[in-house]
Amino acid sequence: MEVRYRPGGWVAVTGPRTWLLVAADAAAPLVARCWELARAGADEVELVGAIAADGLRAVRDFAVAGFAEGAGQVIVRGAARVELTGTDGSTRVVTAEHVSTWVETRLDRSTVRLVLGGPVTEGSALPLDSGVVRAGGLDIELAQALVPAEPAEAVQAVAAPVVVSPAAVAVTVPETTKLPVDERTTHLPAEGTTEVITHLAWAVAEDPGATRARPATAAAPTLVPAIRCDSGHWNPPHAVACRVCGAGVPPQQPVDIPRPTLGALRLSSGDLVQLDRGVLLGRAPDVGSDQSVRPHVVRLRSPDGDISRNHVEIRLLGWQVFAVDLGSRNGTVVAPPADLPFDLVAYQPVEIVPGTVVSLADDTSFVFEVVG
Amino acid sequence: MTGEPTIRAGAATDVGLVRAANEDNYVVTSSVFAVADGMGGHAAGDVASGLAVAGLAQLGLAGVVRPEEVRRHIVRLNGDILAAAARNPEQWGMGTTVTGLCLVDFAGSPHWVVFNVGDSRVYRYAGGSMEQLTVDHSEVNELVAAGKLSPAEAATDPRRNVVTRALGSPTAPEPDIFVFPLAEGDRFLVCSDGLTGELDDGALASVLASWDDPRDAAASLVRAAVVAGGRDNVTAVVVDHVPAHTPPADDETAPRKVS
Ligand SMILES: [Zn+2]
Repeated sequence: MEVRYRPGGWVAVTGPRTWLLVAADAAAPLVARCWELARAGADEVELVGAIAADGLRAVRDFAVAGFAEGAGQVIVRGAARVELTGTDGSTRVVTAEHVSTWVETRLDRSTVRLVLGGPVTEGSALPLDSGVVRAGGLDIELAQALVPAEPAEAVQAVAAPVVVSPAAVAVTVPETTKLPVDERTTHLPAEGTTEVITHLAWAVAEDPGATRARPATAAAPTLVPAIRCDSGHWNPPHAVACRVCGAGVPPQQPVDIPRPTLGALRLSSGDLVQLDRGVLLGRAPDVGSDQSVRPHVVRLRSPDGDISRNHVEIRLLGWQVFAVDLGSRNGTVVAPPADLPFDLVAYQPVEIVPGTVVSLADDTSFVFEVVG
Repeated sequence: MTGEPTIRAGAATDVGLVRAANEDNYVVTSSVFAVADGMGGHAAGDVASGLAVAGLAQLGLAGVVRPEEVRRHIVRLNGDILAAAARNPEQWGMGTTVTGLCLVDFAGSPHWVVFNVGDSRVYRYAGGSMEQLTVDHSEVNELVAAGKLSPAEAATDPRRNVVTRALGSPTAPEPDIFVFPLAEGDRFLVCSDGLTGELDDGALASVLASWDDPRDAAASLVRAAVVAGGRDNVTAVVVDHVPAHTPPADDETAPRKVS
């Protein structure tokens, strides 16, 4: 048996056969209560009883595990989670999402490792034999529990700094520890108005780990080479006349700048969409989540249903603006300012210039404008 | 159309365990949901973020909002904060982030406008998946974007609190603004960096999944961040677009009628 903890903001209580990670003030009476039980060799059910003694609303987030003689269980509530690793190396996560009470899972000899985690676990794991610490996670290697236990002192020797009493831990918690939140939380419900606990039956998570998180994308700003007219408007490096004011642009060395807004789409409804990014237009447009820079997404009214769900897209490339028909059922017509209108071929980008009218339906179109 | 969308929101904030004062502010109206994280000495950060949310609360009072008004409004707020600082030397240099959602009428139907200046964030949580909608205006994010820092390093880099755009700047910052249509069942989280500094995206998603009522979700997020360390002020606004009971119609694109 080997127990390690990761520093964090929750409290870990560990004893010879039970381990607790709980979102609570280290000075809370329940921590002292659990510590007394855990070090006396109480099992996980006794620990949960001690936690629930103040009512379940008092402690929303905790994970308790107990294991002895080849059997045990984990109990998870709120934002806590437990990862189980089997003898075959497979892992399984137990969470209590959507469960108002808690979730319980049995352990047997096929489990070799438990990781109890709160919302954050940080830093490297430090050994902890028995005690109370501020922690974000607990790693418990059960494999060694299957062989005759070693003398506890052997582990304790390296764990001296972290074997502390609840009183000692309480000193490290700032006075300002106050849960719940302060008086600005004017929109909070009265205590207990929404959390309905009708029974304390044990429940088992059917589909743990259903939640996926997508890492935040850091989007690099698009840089373009640019020169300026005498009024300071930015223009493409080879511009002769300013795209904004029409004045002549003197020859000069281009500099790289974050791409300025290339203009706007004026919709036939009168609304304006800035071309500081791409635009997706349709009757029920749906943008994939794989784009690092999200386009504007515009839902167009189409009582007759002749605009497609994803109909046409405006893409920006450097200083250029392209229109792309997205395989729409009724097509897209492009009318350049000094040329004959034509139909877009599906999925073939066509560059458009200021003054171009793009039509999606008889009564629905937009103009690409450049304004100062 | 099935009439007005049903929007429900909840918010919570906490000073955290380390800071002496809470310089975060938030606003929840029928059309504006935003967080402002103030900065500046002598409680000036609280003044700046308070000015920002008070100004944003006025969006929508005059009726239907258009996306361009959101942009103009935010630029004007920059001037208001500068002017307030000029009147009171103790508030010199105060600034604030401002991030959130505004319900607008656009192209004949309701849309969201997401706006951002600084490193507070808007997330969208739908179908069990989390997506960060805003891009941080922070020094570390720019270093990550430039490939000079890994996202893991960014999480602990001492520069992570340095914002590159804020209201109260001598030159008005360009707000990031984009529109997208409402979708029933969408849940949004607007939060200050005191939340995202303590909880990773997976933890945020797991709390958002655990509470139906947006007020409970906001309170639980803030509590979890405080428990996880509470090194900064923590604010969360959770916004739900509650599904109506009408089944979606309008699935096929009709062939264009020949007139
Ligand atoms: Zn010009």
